[in-house]
Amino acid sequence: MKPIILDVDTGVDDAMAIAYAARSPELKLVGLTTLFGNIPAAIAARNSLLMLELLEREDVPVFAGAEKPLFRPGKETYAEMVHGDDGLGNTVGQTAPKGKVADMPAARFIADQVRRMPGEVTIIAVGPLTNLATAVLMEPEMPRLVKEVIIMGGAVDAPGNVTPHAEANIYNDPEAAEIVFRSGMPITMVGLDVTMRTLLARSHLAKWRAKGTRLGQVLADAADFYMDFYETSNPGIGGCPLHDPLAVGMAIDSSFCKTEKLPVEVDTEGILSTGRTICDRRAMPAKPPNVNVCLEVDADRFLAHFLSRVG
Amino acid sequence: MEPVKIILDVDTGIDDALAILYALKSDRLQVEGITTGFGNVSAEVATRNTLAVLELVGLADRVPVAMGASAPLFRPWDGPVPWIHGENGLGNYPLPEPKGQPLAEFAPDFLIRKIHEQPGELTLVFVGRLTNLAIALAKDPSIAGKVKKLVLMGGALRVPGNVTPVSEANIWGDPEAAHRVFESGMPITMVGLDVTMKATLTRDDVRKLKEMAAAPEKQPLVRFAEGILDFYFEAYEKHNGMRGSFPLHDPLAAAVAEDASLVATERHYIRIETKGRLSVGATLADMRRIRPKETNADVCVQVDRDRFVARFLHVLAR
Repeated sequence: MKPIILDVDTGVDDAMAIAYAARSPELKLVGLTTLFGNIPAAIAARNSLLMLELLEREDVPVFAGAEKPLFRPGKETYAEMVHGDDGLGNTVGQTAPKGKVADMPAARFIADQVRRMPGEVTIIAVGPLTNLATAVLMEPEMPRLVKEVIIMGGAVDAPGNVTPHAEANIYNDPEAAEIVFRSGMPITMVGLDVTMRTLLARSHLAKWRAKGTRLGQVLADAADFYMDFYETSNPGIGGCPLHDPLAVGMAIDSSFCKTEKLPVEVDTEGILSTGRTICDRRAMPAKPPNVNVCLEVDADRFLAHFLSRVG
Repeated sequence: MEPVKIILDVDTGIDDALAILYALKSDRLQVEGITTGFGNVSAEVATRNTLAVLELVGLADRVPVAMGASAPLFRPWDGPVPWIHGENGLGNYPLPEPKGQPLAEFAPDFLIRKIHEQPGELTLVFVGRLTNLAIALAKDPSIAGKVKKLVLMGGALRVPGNVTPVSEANIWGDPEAAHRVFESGMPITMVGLDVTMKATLTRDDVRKLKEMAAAPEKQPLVRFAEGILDFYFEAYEKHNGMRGSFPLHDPLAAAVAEDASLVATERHYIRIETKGRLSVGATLADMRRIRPKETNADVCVQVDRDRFVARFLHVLAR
């Protein structure tokens, strides 16, 4: 079993990623680390605890992390229209979880775990990269100690989502992303080039509901809400992309995506380009490659695998 | 068919020289004037090279040349690129020092005057920085509505840049000028790297040109073309990893001005990034599923390479 830390801003697709990871025997979920992003940090922590409860995986500790970006003011608005006021498509409202977050900051936990298990821990970060960047700053040996970092974020050939050119996780903390990309850690980038092609259709939701469990109900209703947003922003899309679950999928089976090692940097300065992942695709790139970029995905095989675990 | 009346703006430059030759020799284009500016070389060298090319084909009396901007609007000029265009900007080919002089008129003023003389008639073909046009627009914004259109070589939509991972040299070389031009409301056709990188000339094509232009009176032009092309083949192999072929960036813009059917275009709203170490000079379009309603440019996305190259060789060999 592969020890993983899942870093989340829970979020509808984060919730699906948590379920996927928690139900996959290949992965040993060492802990969840949480932060702001889709929703404020407090809601991310709460939703992560609730999801573990629904999954009957209260054994997994949750560590609360960043409430705002490294060098920018905290967000004034969040993506309620995407993820609902409660971050889970308005399925849980004000529900308080039974569990509590652990008494340690998320970044500290990440740094400690990679130090404790050198070369073993895979970090799957599916929110802004603030916790991970903070861990890199805390533990300069992260590049040597971590097995792999898989991030959901960025876009190389595909358009952005939050701006025409930037993907939301990178845009939410571009400096953190740049620290991570420059760190020397082995990074696999699961960006919009592939995640936008992994669609969960509404027809799948009936099976989740038919389970008659609270988990199935919450996942189906949250996904329903999420799909409504995608239908508005991407008319005719016919479902919702499985952004965060695909990052988990890549930890289980890296053959889901075709990757290419490329030089990637993050724009932190542009008027139109802030948060854009700048990838040097020229015949003679100016810098050595630093990121394993997912460019193609076997969407059908991945979706079948995801549904076999979460369905 | 009436020839298309153009003003050509150049930073001559090897492929600029080819674009000038193409425009002068094409029966479908009528060159009303050439404006010059900094870019591949300094404005002075661009002017000198332009005059020298005109004299090579004996057209110095017919086509006025006006010198323009010597630096970007708000930035220092980075200097020439001798590794791509040679020390003299013409692949070190020794053209005689020109006898003629440019007009006393500043290129932006020349543009404004010519546009007002023939409102709605002129197509501007810009194959260097857009600085001269941005200055002209600042002096007289009304010209935006009085040109037939602007065909520019520059930018990149879905392909990598050349000077940076995301920026093409002409836009990168004066991004603020490009921004002013793209926001001006002038009808624009963007002939960017999406098509110019596919409009490649091969060594075989050069051999063809020599066969097609075997007549003795054509030899000065053929020798010149061969000389600058040889340099360009090597430069592209060394610096762009292209072997035995190179893109006809600037000539393609001239060819598109006379025959738009060489390319397929998409309507987009092109915005120019003017800030940021990594992104400055990027030509950006919102390609998300819901597209902006407003557009400002026809962006070339496909080119009929074989038909263009055949036309290019035919015109040069005329």
